Amino acid sequence: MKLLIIEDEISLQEIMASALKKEGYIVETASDCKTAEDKLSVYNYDCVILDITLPDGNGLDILADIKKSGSSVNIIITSARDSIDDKIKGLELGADDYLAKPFHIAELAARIRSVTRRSRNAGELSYKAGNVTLYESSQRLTIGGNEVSLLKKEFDILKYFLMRPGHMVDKAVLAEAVWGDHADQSDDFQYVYAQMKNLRRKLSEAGADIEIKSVYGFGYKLITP
Amino acid sequence: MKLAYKIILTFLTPLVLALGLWGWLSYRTMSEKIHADTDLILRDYSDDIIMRFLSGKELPERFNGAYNTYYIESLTAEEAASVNAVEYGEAEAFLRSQEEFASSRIRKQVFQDSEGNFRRLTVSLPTFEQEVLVEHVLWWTIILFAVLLLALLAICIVSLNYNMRPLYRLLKWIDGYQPGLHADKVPSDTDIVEFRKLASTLEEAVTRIESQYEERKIFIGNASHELQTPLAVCNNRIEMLLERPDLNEEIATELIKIHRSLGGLVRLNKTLLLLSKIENGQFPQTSEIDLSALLQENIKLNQEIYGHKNICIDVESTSGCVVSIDEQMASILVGNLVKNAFIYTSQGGQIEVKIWESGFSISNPGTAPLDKDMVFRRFYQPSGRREGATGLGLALVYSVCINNGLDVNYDFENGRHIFSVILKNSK
Amino acid sequence: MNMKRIIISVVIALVSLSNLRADDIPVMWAQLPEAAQAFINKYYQNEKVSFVTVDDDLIAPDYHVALVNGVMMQFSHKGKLEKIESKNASIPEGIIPIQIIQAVKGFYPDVNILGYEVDWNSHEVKLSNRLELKFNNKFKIKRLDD
Repeated sequence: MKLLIIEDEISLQEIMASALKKEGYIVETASDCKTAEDKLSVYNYDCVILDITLPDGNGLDILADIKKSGSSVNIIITSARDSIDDKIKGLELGADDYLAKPFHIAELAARIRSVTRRSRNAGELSYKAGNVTLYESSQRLTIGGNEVSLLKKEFDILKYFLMRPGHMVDKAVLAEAVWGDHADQSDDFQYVYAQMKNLRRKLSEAGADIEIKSVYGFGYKLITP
Repeated sequence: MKLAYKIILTFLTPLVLALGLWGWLSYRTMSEKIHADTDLILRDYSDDIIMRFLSGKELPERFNGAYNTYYIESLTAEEAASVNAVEYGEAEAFLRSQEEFASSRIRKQVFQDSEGNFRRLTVSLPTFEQEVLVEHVLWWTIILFAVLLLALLAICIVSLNYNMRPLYRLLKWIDGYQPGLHADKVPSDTDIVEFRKLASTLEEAVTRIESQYEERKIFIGNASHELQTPLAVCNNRIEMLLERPDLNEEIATELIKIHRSLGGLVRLNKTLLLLSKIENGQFPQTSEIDLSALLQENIKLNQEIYGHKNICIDVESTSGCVVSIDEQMASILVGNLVKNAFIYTSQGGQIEVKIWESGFSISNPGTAPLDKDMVFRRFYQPSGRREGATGLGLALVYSVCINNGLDVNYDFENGRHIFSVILKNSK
Repeated sequence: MNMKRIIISVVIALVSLSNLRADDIPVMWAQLPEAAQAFINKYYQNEKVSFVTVDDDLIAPDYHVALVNGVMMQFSHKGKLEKIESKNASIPEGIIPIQIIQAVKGFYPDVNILGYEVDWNSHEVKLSNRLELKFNNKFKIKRLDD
């Protein structure tokens, strides 16, 4: 898949490009409106990651232009401003998602997956890895075709990993994502271990061919076949 | 003491003393004059009798019904030489008409007649009328003095209070002033030069304070903002390093530690930004939020997270507590207070939550009271820096409350830290 | 503390000034002013003095002289006659201005002058019919007093 990263902050642009290339995407970059417009007029992309705070113009204008031209490319807008207004306006103008800076690379990867998958699946949004399929809206899980029931937290944790397969997740970050903003300051992640233990057990009992491995003692990684 | 009363005291005290002195002198003068008049009457009386005597004319009746009387005695030359020729004095004279003695003023004069004989004339006049008059003068002087004093006092108090009004208005304004909260204009409608100057200087100072405050806010906002990107870049680079297959455990551990520290920095930065946004009033959207439900939710969440501490929660809820507030703000307020309670309660402790219509309180066991003035200030961490803690949790709570018409208080009672949040327009 | 001293002396002065009792002191003939002595020697050469007193006034003491014939006189501190009084009309000629005597004779021909008082702008006579007449310096009637 071909991605265009429009970002004026060079180091960030570099990191995003290198990480996404590792994921297997073809990545092009632009640092300002002019370059972005040039590239957009010449090439077709599957997904555009657009920073709306660009030096020589407003990213939202580029967004509007893309939509006006009738292109159906997926657009994720990023912003350092963290403004609700930007988010609302962007989504109204037709962006598919909004990501506030700073973000984890894994998060970006997950969003890109989610957005491109949504457009491909006409039906329900689902996450797949190996023989495990998780259905978002109906909150169902199938492993090797069989329905498996999970507790709410177990479900949320599995979903989180399915969105970023192969990426290492710090357990503090996992805790924050699943239990909320205030969970990251606990000095004992016992409650995380407890859930993880149950989840892994259920996965292996159901014969899943994916595994959530503990990494370096501080995080986990979803290993897919 | 109040300026008005100080002024009155320093102004009236010497005035009262001066008036008192004047009053006393006036009374004395009058009383002296009254007595002096008596003496003049006595002298004229004496001269008249002597002239009649020396001219050979008939002497006046000694007991004529009026109260004055006289008698003439003869003296030898030696006696005449041994007494003063003129003498005034007091004596008890017998009043024939009243058949009783009365205090009188007497005058004695020695004179010589045509044959060279010495005579002495004594005239007397009862003084009770004069005494009564003097007494009246005294009483009236005292009464008038008292009346004058009271009148002066009243006038002074009224006049001072009236003229000090602009000052009191200024002071009241000062009491209500808080930097950052938009205050009314400094009251300055007065024609007194000094108060006008005070007001205008105050206005200038306030403008300066406000603009400095604004600048500081903007600076914090900008700084946090600028910090975000480099922090994110660092974090992301480390994340990428951690994904490399050629890592060994040792390096990985070090990288993880850096990642954690950076995570703390990012959190701190985000919180600072959030604080400055709250203070800027960037969350004006409100909805009716039931804090009671939010509290229960957070308690459940934290019970799970801190399950290993075996903390016991006691919730007393008399009714729902509904507040007009932005959803995110409510979440920050409740979340931080509940989280703090759990973090700072040791193994097996008990947290108490009380919820009522116009507020709620949450308390946890503690050893020593926290500093009331400092507890809501940024970066106040009395028990030393906690790993990963921003030190801004309570500052956030405070900021949310201030900007949403809530009062937040801290008390330490019966060995428990108690935080309470109360709607402002209720008791 | 200069201010204090000033205040104290003012207070003392005020207090002492308020002492108004008559303080007539007997004096010797020799203490009478010369003019007074001259006056008495001129008009009453052969009369003896009954007593002499002075009004103890700080500024301008008055002298009182009584003669054994019953005439009383009051002199200013300079010795000028201020008042002369007698019960039997024995005021010598030359003391009362002739215009006044004539004026009185004009009003009351049969009346005697018993007393005469003079100050800087008026003359006053006491008559045996108990009336008092006051004249200005030009010997015109000023006021009638009963």
